[in-house]
Amino acid sequence: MMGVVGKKVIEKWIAMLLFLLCFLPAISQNAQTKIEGTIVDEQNQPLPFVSVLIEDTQKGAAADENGYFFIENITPGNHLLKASSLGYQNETIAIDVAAGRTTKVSIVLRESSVDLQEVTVAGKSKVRQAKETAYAINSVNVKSLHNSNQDLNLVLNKTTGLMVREEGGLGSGFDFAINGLSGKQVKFFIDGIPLISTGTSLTFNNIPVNLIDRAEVYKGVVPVNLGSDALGGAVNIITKQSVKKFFDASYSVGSFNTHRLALNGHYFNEKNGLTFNARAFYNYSDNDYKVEVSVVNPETGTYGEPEKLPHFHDAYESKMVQFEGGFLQKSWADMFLLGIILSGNHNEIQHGVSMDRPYGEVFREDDVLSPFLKYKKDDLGVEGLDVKGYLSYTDGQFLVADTSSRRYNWRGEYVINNDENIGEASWQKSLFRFNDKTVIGNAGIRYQLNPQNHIDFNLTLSSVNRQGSDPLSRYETAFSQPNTLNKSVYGLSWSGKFFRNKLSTTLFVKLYDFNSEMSDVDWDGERTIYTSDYNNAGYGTAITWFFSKTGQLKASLENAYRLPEGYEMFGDGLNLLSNPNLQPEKSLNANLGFLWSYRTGVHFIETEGNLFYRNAKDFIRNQAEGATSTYVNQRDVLSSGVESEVRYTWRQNYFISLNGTYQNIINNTEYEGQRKSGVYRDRIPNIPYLFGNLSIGAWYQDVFSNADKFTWQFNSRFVEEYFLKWPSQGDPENKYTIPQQIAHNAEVTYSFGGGKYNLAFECRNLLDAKLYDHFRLQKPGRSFNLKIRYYIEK
Amino acid sequence: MKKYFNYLIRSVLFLSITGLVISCSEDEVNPDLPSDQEAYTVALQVLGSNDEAADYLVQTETLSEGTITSEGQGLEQTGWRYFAQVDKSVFSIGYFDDNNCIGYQLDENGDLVEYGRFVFEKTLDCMLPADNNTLLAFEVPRTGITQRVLHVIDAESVSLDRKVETDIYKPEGDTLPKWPTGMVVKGDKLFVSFYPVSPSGDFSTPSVDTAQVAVFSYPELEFEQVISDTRTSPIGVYGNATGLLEAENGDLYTYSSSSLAGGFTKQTKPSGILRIKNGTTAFDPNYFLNIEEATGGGKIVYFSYAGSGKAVARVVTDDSVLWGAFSPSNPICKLVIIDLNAATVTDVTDVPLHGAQYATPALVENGKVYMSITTATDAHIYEIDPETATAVKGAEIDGLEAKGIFNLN
Repeated sequence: MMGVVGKKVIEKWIAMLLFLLCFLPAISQNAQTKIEGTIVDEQNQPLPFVSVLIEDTQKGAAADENGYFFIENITPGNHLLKASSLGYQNETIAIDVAAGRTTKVSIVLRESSVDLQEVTVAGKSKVRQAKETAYAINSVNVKSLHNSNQDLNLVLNKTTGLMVREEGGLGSGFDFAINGLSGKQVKFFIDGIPLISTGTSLTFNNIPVNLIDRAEVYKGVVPVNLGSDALGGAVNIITKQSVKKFFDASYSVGSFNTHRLALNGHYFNEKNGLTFNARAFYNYSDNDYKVEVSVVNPETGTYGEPEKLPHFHDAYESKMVQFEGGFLQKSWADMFLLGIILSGNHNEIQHGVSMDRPYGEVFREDDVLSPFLKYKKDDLGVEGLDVKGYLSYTDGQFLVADTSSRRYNWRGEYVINNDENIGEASWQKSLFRFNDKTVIGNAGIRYQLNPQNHIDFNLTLSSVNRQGSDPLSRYETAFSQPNTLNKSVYGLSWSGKFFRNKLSTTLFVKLYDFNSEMSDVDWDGERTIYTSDYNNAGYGTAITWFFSKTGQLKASLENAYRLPEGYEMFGDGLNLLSNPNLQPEKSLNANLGFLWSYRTGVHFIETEGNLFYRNAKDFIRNQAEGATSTYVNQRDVLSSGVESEVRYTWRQNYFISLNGTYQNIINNTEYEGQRKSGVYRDRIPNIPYLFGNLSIGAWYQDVFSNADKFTWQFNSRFVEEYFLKWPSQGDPENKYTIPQQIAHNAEVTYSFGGGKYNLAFECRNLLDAKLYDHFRLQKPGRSFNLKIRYYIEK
Repeated sequence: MKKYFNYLIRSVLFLSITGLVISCSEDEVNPDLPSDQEAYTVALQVLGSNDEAADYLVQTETLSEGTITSEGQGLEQTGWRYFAQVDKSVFSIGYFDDNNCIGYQLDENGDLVEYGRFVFEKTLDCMLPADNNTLLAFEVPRTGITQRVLHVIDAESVSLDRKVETDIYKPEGDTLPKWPTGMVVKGDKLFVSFYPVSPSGDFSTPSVDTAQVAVFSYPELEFEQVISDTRTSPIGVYGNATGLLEAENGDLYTYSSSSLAGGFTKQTKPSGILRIKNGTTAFDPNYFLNIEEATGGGKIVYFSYAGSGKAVARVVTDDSVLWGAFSPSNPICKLVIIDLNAATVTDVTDVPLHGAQYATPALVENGKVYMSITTATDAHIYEIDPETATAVKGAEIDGLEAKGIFNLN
């Protein structure tokens, strides 16, 4: 039964495996040699985030928040080591590095009123490095939030251009938008590996911040190494990587019976390169927050008086364990890791898109098993030839259970529905389960032609097979005939630097290859096999110019695609019909931005801004046809806007930052079919268009004892009121809206014992405001959280 | 201690300098709407897809000219809605996730205002008035051999009066659930037309050999009998509560589409019209209007009573695509006048080929019928004269279609 499509796919995978195997046996000679040290100021206080650079090799590192840094894989011999930091004079020291040994240094930096820093990327913090790339990017240092109780969505939501809309409390569904493009148009990665088929058990609202080093959000223009069909952008979260052994454990307890546990441990043996990582989390919440609702009289259907009642069926539990083991810094691999992720969740569903119909027993369960292999080797055989790759397999089991005859009201009381076939949320009781089996393989090669130019080639292959079943159903189930979807994304890019590195540019092309196969049995019992195979080529560029030592202009552009999902093209084998003519969504994305900072005395101002433009066409939408529906290419959308952030730091330990985003997302579909549209050029409804964040905080060291640290932070978020439906339509006084939102969160943290023991106390929704991200779906009111964290490293 | 005091001072200073503002949200304002004498209420569906699509109840002075638009006016609905009239009230009925029904009436200024709402469990279909204070509607499960729930809705209080579970018709050994397509209350009887549908949820129709109408007692709503006729196929189509109509003399007429475009996956009998004579509960054996013969191969997918023994009907001219009659922009329908007594069909040539729709409205006033006609390029209200089988193009509809045309005065 293997068609042409299947054969082609296998050929591709074989080619990919051969490619990976070719590189594995390659051996080069590099002794295990490194430098480590600490950087302090004249008062002997550790200086965080100082850049350290070996001048002759351009190898560098950034000190962490405790002033500690290390540089690995150094050629033995004499070197000049330069340390530099904004507001301090550069310091260069001579070091003699012995082969196979760790050389320890200590550097003191003196404050300076003149900023002598060179414009150079190497040696800066990873976050700073990422920010200074030519791409439009939000790079968020999550490490500094490790003591905090915030989850990743909350952290990212505070940055410009991003909008995370949650339906409720911990574990609820959410929609992640980058500059107005959302859903499947945004792709998610962990350490560069796409999150496909991991369901909701491993997602941005349950991964604890402790496991993450930083997050990078690429807006509209995505580099080739994140090989995917990301129409609107991509988010890559980078887990904490270290050569030092560490153990990080945290537990938090909070309102609504919320408990969160996170563990992160790393072992590395410098002698034989053996390494192990273990990461785990456990989240639980009753989510029994109160909402203002009316209890409906089951006899008459009429509403009672509004009252405050708790969510009674919204508990959430999720867990994840990840083990990986392998070798670091071997002659044959800088990194070779084999690992496995096990994750699962159980999520009670309180209601659907309307709070008029509360559920008492509907739930979802996801279970994911995902073994993987990662490999990375720099200077493979030839100096300047870096390769990396991964191979991962994901088996995701997703269950939707709707088996109750009870009909609940908001008090948790129920009546029995006489018809024992009908579920609470759907027309038929179901234990619908679908299984996605996904294989993803990636290979990336970088060749550094010279210090100014490099070429990247990246190949990502993915194959998803979906099959559904429902033991309760006596009839055909959605996806009961398996469907297979193969996507290949090839990327090639060239990056170059000019004018003493003041100008850097990247040009890239991406080739998307899509093929898919599904068999469908129609109402006559007739079996049809649908296949589809097509290619699209995208391209893009990013360019940046450092106009001063602290100022930078950026421009980037991509002609991006989002390929259809299997069910969009082939339906679900039930009432969602196939549309083999479905085309990919496409968009021309452009960004123009700047970064600038200024320091005088104790004042430090950083600012960035970005203008964005997205000309998106052929959005894939569901369209009803009789009692059935099908996905069609409908809706062109033009999104443009501006986002900006200003951050002011005083005496290095007080800061205030303010950002805002305005996005004008308009309907660019002049004709729907052949009908001239009355809502052409109208703003696309139900998407926020104006929002911003204010953060204010401070930290103090040696407050109660030596080596302790106290911080406080206050965050406010504002979202302007927006319309549920087309703005131009209807009586303006009687339109449905999602009201203006102002939410305040506050947090204090205290750490002592040199960062070993940490405490955080957080209050979310300080004023107990009624918050909505979706029409009439109330979010939790005021809540409190206490987090304790223990961290050691050596 | 001094150090802490300094931290405190600096923190307070910093907070106040930055001028942190905690603002409050403003109160809702609800000013009176401007009032004018607008006789008609039109339910408009705006173009759009998914959640963008919205319905608006718009008041207008005339159906004959100008543009009926929801731009800047009209009562917004939360999603795709059905609309039904009971006396001087119009009901807006949500679909599945939007599971409530809202009642609207004109206030003393002639402005349309909400006067009540209630919640139902899943979805209501096939809503028709039983009398001047009662709306009937069926909850119809999409899969399985499950009972349908007939909702009796009190129009005055906008609330459920009672719910009656029924199979509509289920003889021994019958495995096909029934989909209701029309209802008429006549004296102490409720007539319900229906078609058998597969329980699998794919809406296929394995049994299309018989036209049937179930008869219930009214207001008790107890099943009495089913009447059958094998000259044509099952009665009515999905999404339109128009399978049955009653003439002034009390005769009932039914249409059978036997149409792929109307959602029937099998066709074995000709499309046609049957009659149930006043005072009887049987199909008139002497009456059958074969629509395919009368229209040269067309199939009827909708009819509405126009008065004086005449009906306005939609006839599919191209029956090649399943569900083809449910896309307003797919122009495969012609409009015809049916003389029910004479059993003749006359094309209304003034009305172009157009698409059919769910919940097709028709307002009969002063002997004229007002209908929403959507072609591939535009949508208009047509004023149709059933006597002459002519039509005049009236007001333009600034939207996909009108889903309801009402006079609530």
